[in-house]
This record gives sequence, C-alpha cells and structure tokens, in this order.
Amino acid sequence: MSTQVAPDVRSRVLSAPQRVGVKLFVEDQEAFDRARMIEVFHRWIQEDRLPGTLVDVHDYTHVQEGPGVLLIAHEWHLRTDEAGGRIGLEYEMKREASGTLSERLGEAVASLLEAAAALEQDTAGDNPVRFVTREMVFRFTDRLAVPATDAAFEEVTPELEKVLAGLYGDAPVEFERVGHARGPLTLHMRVVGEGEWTLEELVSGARSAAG
Amino acid sequence: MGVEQQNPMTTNGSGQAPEPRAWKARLGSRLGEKLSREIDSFEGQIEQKRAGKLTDEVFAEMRLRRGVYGQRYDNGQRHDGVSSRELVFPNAELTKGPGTLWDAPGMVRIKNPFGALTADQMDVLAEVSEEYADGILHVTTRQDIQLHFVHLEETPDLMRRLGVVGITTHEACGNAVRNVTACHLSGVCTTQTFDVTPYAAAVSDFLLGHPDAQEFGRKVKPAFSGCADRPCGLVKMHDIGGIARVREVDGVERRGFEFYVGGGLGAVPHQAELFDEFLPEEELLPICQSISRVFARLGEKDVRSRARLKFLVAKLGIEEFRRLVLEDRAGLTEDSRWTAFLDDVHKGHDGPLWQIEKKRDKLTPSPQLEAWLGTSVTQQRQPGYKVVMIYLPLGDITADQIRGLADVARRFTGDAVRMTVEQNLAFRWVRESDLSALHEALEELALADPRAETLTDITACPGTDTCKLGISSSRGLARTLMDHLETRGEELDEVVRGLRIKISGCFNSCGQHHMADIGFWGVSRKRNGYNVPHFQVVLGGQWAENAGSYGLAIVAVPGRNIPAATDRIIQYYVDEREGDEGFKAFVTRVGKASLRTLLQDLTEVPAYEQDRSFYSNWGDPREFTLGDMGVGECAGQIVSPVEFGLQASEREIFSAQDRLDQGDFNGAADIAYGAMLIAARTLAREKEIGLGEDPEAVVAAFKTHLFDPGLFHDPFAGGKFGNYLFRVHRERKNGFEATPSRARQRIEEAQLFIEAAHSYHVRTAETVSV
Ligand code: HEM
Ligand code: SF4
Repeated sequence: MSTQVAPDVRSRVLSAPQRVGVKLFVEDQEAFDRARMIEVFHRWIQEDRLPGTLVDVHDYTHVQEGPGVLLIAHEWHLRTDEAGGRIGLEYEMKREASGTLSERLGEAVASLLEAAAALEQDTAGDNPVRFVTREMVFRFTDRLAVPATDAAFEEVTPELEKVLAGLYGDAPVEFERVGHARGPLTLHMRVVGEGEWTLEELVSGARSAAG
Repeated sequence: MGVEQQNPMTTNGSGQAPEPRAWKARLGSRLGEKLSREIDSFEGQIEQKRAGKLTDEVFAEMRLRRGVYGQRYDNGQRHDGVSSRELVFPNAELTKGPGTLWDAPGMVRIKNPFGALTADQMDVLAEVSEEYADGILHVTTRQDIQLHFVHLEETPDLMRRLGVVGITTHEACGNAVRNVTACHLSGVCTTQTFDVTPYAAAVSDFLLGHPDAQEFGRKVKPAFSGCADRPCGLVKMHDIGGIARVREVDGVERRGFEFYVGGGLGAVPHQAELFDEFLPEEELLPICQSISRVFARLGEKDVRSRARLKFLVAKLGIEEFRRLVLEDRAGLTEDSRWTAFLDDVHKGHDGPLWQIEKKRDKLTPSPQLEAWLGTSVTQQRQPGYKVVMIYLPLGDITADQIRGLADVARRFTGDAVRMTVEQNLAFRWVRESDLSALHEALEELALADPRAETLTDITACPGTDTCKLGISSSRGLARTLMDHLETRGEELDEVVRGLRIKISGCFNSCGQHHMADIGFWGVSRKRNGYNVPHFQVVLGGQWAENAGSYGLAIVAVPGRNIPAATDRIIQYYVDEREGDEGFKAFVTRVGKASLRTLLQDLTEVPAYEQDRSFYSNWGDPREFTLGDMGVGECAGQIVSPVEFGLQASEREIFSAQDRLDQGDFNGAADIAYGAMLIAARTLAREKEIGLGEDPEAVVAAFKTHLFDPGLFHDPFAGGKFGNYLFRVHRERKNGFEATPSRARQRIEEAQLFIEAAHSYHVRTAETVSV
C-alpha cells in the first residue's frame, strides 16, 4: 500500500521519490579501467543492453571524485561513480517511477544489480570488474519526497530493510548516515550478519522481491 | 564523513511534518512575487504547449529566453556507431520546438552577472544539479553556469529553487542581452582603474527585461574591464564593452569608460570599434539603452548569421552608428535609474572584508603547497589579502564539491566568489594567514590542483558532448591534451607553461579559440572516402589587452594528430624564439608558411584499415559522422543549412585574405574562387538536393536554377554579381596567373558574390528557411 494513503500520512515525512540512487562498490579499485567503460557503455546503447531509452555516454573522468563515465537514459543515469574517492556503479532512477516508496526502492536496487551483473559479465575475460556485495549506498536525490533530515532517516530505514530482506534474508544490515548535512540524504548500508552472496543471487532475490 | 550543520538557506526540507508536496507551496514567500509569477507563467506555457495551444516556434523562443536550451540528439536521432537510431521517448509525438522532442534531455543556462556566486547560491546550485541534472555544474566562458540532461518539465521547480537565492535564468539565452561579464578581479586587482562591478551590475539590472531590449534579431553580449592591458574582461570581442577610465574635468576626477561596440567571435570574428574614448559614468545606462534601441530598429532580423550587432556596426560604419545612437539618446525620456546606482557606487568602499589578525599562520611547507602557491595565489591590491584561483577541469565541478566550497567560502572569503572566463573560480579576500588552511580545505575537496591559468588548464566549449552544432569533440581533445601535456610535465620548458590553449567544437568559437596562444576549432574533412574529424589550428591570438587581436589560421590537422601538432608547435617556440620574445610575436615573425610546413606531414590521414582511430573523435569510440549535428537553436530562431553554408563561404574569404597578406597570390585567388563555389552550391542545393561538389556541376546548377530564372538578380545591379562567378570559373579553367591586384580583386568579387547570396537568402528567407 502506498505510504501516501496510509492512515498516519500526516505524521509522515516521506513520500515516494521520483529520484533515488543506489551504488555498489567495485572490488579492485586500482585495476578499474575508466576508458574501457566508455566503450562498454556505447556498446550497451547499440545492444539495448538495459531496459529504458538509452541516450548517450558522457565522460567526466577528468573530474576528481566525480561521476566518472555516465550512461544517460531517459529514465535513469548509470555512472561509474567516484564520490568519496571510492569507485562504484551507481544507478539513479531519474523519472517515470511509479508505485510506493518501497516498490521504487526495490526497483532501483534490482536495476542497479542487473546493470552490475551485466558489467561483470561483459568484462569477464580480461581484467574483470567485480563488485562488493555486502555494501550499498543509497542517495535520495529528491528532497521534496525525502528530505535530508533525521526524521526521514528514521522513516526510510525500515523501508530499506524490507527491500534488502529480499536479498540478504535474515542477515541483519546496518545504516549509517553519511555525506554533507546539506547534501541529499545518503545512507551507507553494510550487511553485518554472516553470509556470502554472489551478484547473481542478489539479482534474483531483488527481482523476485520487486515482482 | 560526519554530518555537519544544517544551513537555513538550502531548499532542503525542515523535517517538520507535514511538508507540502510541491516546491511552489514549500518555498512559499521565500520566492519573490515577481519571479514567482514569471515562473508560474512559464509553467503555464509548458502546459499550453503540451495541450497543443502554442506553436513550436513560439514556445521555443519562450523557453530559450528562460535559459532552457536544446541539446544534441533532441531531434530523437543518434548514430550509435553502427547505424542511426531513433530515440523512443514516452511522449513520442510531443515537441518543445521545431524538430525538438519533449522528453529529450536539455540544457539550462544560469545567468550570474559578472560570475559572482554567494555561498548560499552554491548550496542551491548543488541541489538542483544533483536532482535535475547529472550532478555536475559547468562553468562557461561567459561566467555562466550550465546544467545538462535536464527535463523540460522540471525546469519551473529548478527555477523556483534558484530564485530563492536570487538567481535567474531569465534572458540567459535567446535574442536578448546576455550575461554581463566583468573581470573576476574587479575590486581587488592591482592594475584596475576602479572597480567595474557595480557598473556591470547596473547594466545587467537595467537591461534585464527592459522593453527596449526585447526586439533584437540576435543576442547582445556586454563586458566590462577594470584596465586596458590585461585580458580578464575580453572587452574587444564583445557586442558592448567598457574599460574603466578616469579623467580630470574642471579639477575633479570623473569616472567613465573607454567604450566599445560591435565586437564578436563566431564564424566571422570582429574586433570591437571604439564608440567613445570617455563615456562618463552617468551616460553608461542611457547609451546602452539607445544602442539597444538602434539595434532593435535597424539590426538584421531575418538572416541570423548577419544579425549580430557587429554586422550592423560594420554595415553603417562606426561614425554613422554613433550618430544614430547619440540622436536616439537625445530624445530619450529621463529615467531615474540611469544614475540612481551611482550613489551607492560612490559610497562603496574598497576596504577589507576581514580584520587581518596580527598572528600569522606558519605555512607548513610541502611540494603540493609550494606548487599551488606558485600558480594559484596572486596579490590583491589590498595589502594582506590574496586572490586564490581554483582550477576546475573543463569548467566542471560536482555537487558535492561546490557544497563543500560553499563552506570554504564562508570560512575564508567572507562569502562571495567569482567564476572566470577561463572556467575557473576565484576566491578573493583570502587572508595571507589563511592560505595554508585554505589549501588543506581545498585538498579535502579534491580542488587543490595547481593548474589554474597554465598550459594544461585548457578551455573548451561543450562541443559534440552536448552541443547540436559540434563537429569535433572539443572536450574529448581537451581531456586528451591535458593528460598528454601533464605527463610531459617537468620536461616542458618554463616559457611554455603560461601559454593558453582553447578549443571550440565548431567555428562558432564558444571556446574562444581566436584569443588563445594555441587555438583549435572543429572541422570535418573528407579523406579516403570517409568524414574525418579535424581541428583547424589557430596560432598567436592575443589574450592580453582585452583580447586585442585574433590568431592566424594555419592548417587543419586530423584530431588524432593534434597532440603531436601541439608538441611540435611548443618545441618550435622553445627552440626558435629570440630572446624573451612572446608567443604571438614569435608566430608573427616566423609566419604562417613555416608553421604550416612544420605541421604538413601531420595532415596525412592513414587508410581506414590501417588506423581506425583517425575516424573517431577523441573519447568517443563511435565512427565519426556528421549525421548527429542538428540545427542550432541557441538564440530562438533556427539556423538553416543555407546560413551554415554561407558562413562557411565567408570563412574561406577570411583565409583568402590571409594568403594575400602572406604574398601567396595564386593561393588567395584559388581560395576566393572556392568560397564562391561554396556559396553557389549552398543555394543551388536547395533546388537540386543531390548536387555534389564538382565545380562544373555547381556552376551549371547555379545557372539553371538561380541565375537564368532571374532569382539571383540584384534589384539594382541585376546579374552583375552572378556574372562574377561565371567569369572567375572560366578564367580558372583557362589558367589564371594572379598578380597582387588581381588576387585582391578576386577576393573583393567573391565577397560581393557572397553578399549577393545573403541578399538572395534574405529575399527568399520566408520560403526557404526551416
Ligand atoms: C547549445 C549549444 C550552443 C550553441 C548552439 C551555440 C551557438 C553559438 C553561435 C552560433 C555563436 C556565434 C555567434 C555569433 O558571433 O554570431 C556562439 C558564440 C559564442 N558562444 Fe555559443 N553556443 C552554444 C553553447 C555555448 C556554450 C556552452 C558557451 C560557453 C561555454 C558558449 C559561449 C559562447 C561564446 C563565448 C561565443 C563567442 C563570443 C561572442 O561572440 O560573444 N556557447 N555560440
Ligand atoms: S563552438 Fe560550436 S560546438 Fe562548441 S559550443 Fe559553440 S556551437 Fe557548439
């Protein structure tokens, strides 16, 4: 049910965001080859590798701790994000989202994992890109729906836990609020419980949870 | 990373539920009433367009005036490297301009008079860039900021949020008075006559939305400079420009401006003409108003490529233009705003923003700090303070970085900073004692690169990355060159480290390549049956003296070979310069011919099978195509292919003139002939779509479709200009030996032929433009 029509709506801070970013970190930071990403992303456009209207590739690798290489689609942006000096892959849902807050979160997580899996697959031969599967960063780049406040943090974490249960089962996760206070609400998630998950396992968990 | 203090000026939520679910309601009265109404009206127009109640042309002009531009591929077509593909957007049928799809990502230009930015503005810019754009703010060569990949429907909220901190996008684009620029050092500069900031602000406020400045055929770009010698204001390449001057009148020191009009870059660059040696300060606004009125009344409206003020000034001559402006000025109704701002100017003080503390922070030496102090810190006119330059690679900065910089600005500059025309940021009023701490703070934000205003601080226009007119990838080349020169680092001779490189993706010169020591602009050349991205090499432009003169076009080199060409040019200068000869003087002395010889072998393009990289742009693995170019909509109307062709022919005239100056008379005559052919072909192709480049076929088609039916005939001169083409074509076939005077004559005839082509286009514009 939508959080917006829940009986306690007036006391709630959040509504369903149009935009939300989810990031996975790359395992081997040193070996990550930025220039190669430009080729991969151009090929993805040729092959329609991901769902959506894929528009263009944009190179920001000259910007330190910037968005790296960006694949722009009408519905989302995908970047080899270098924020905080740690390279990863960030999927940011930009528009055309529908459903409740947790449905949208689920969709964003599943889309990121699929893109990450595609990247692992397409680089499998030489210098493969691999992702850390026990950490994620969530960035709520829609302050109207999810303001960067403690109250929003309190409300959003249970929603995220629900989504992540589909991936990590019972393994507990913890959230830390990171970044600048005037930045978007940004949460660093770590799995604290035991267990190892492959990207493929996470993808299928996310997809079945997102329906 | 800790969570720091909340700042009240952001548009973040307060956290106290319930929050309104729309920005308009949430921001409420924080947005001024006038601006609020203006943005509501734009939102209404978006709705009307959606409902089919506005035409594409009208709506395009409406959004451009608000700084909402199109971007590459917004016609829904993109070549993916294998084939041209349609971009299928949800609102596939809806358009936001002629041939411009509703959902296609666009650009928003934000206008910041003289490039000033407050910390609060930086905070909100960070927010809007990460929410509505791609998380990057791009500082332009005219002290504006651009956001890319923005959706039309999100622009009203974006504008509202910016409005809260006093930023407008109004008249950032369109046929209007654009951002008023000024040297980033004004107020703190050691060589300034006086601080031009309040004058730039007054012109900006006065002309924004002024009824006399709404009916232009094209944009007007004003600029101010505090002194004549340094480049920061670039007055002489602007439509309207003032250099600060003082003069003693009846024993009293009076302020005024050495005032220029009619400069501009673009396809046909013009140096501005001197309008008045000393325009008294109280006359500044009325004269700007009268210039606007004369331009609105007499400026070209139909043919975009002739519509800038520079063409009107050239056409009338500066004396006549001045007479008309002064005549108009004499008839203006007095306006209290003309001088109201002067009270504040004279009350204003040049004093420090901070108390200097006695105790000086000891600088903890490190090689990084040393390098940074050497290149990025300069003296300020007020003792004890420094100006610190912050290098932004290609003018780009992330939302996180600018948010961090807002904190740094609050801490070290007393708030405001300025953007520079070299796409960097200037921190002013930094206490000497704070330098070490500031450096540390910048290092934390990855913004302490000591490159600002050096050889590897390369300026580039957006080019093929986002601009619809881009031919070669200016940013791709800039990135490659920066890396290339950076790896050469230490081995580069000291004398070349201060040279400037500037790159444009096409002849429009947005990257200001004409004024660089080493400039490049994108062109395409047919080689081995393929289109190959090239850059025209332009050397010896004058950055100093407010862009005092433009560079010499040498030769077009394939993009792949530009790093090698740059190395050679630099080395040639290092080896051959005489004494402490500057680069411009060196280029003039050695001459174009020797520079062309130096680069000649680099103009070769290997066969496609041998090296495919030549057939792609830097940073883009797709095979090069011109198919992605669109029609430029930077100023409201659409640039038709005819105008492009005619501009191309004019550029050739430029090169012919160059050849003539060097004494290559046959070369000059040949190029002039080529220019006529381009113009003839451009017009004839409208009638015969498949017309190729064979001169015989072009002349025949021109004759059949334009000359014989009398269409090309001048109302007064009849077939005279058309006949020039036939005669020159004949002479050329029969062998033509050029003398200096015959070469000059041929250039003049070519010029007249092209003028006649423009006139024909004006006469028929109604029926032929897109
Ligand atoms: C949508 C992309 C753009 C288009 C279609 C466009 C088009 C043009 C054209 C046609 C001119 C030549 C004007 C003339 O002299 O007649 C021009 C000049 C110029 N533009 Fe752009 N432009 C674009 C983006 C930019 C950007 C991003 C910048 C800043 C980085 C910029 C800054 C300038 C400057 C500095 C000049 C030349 C200086 C002058 O004449 O005042 N433009 N542009
Ligand atoms: S110079 Fe050409 S390619 Fe570059 S931004 Fe201007 S119009 Fe576009």
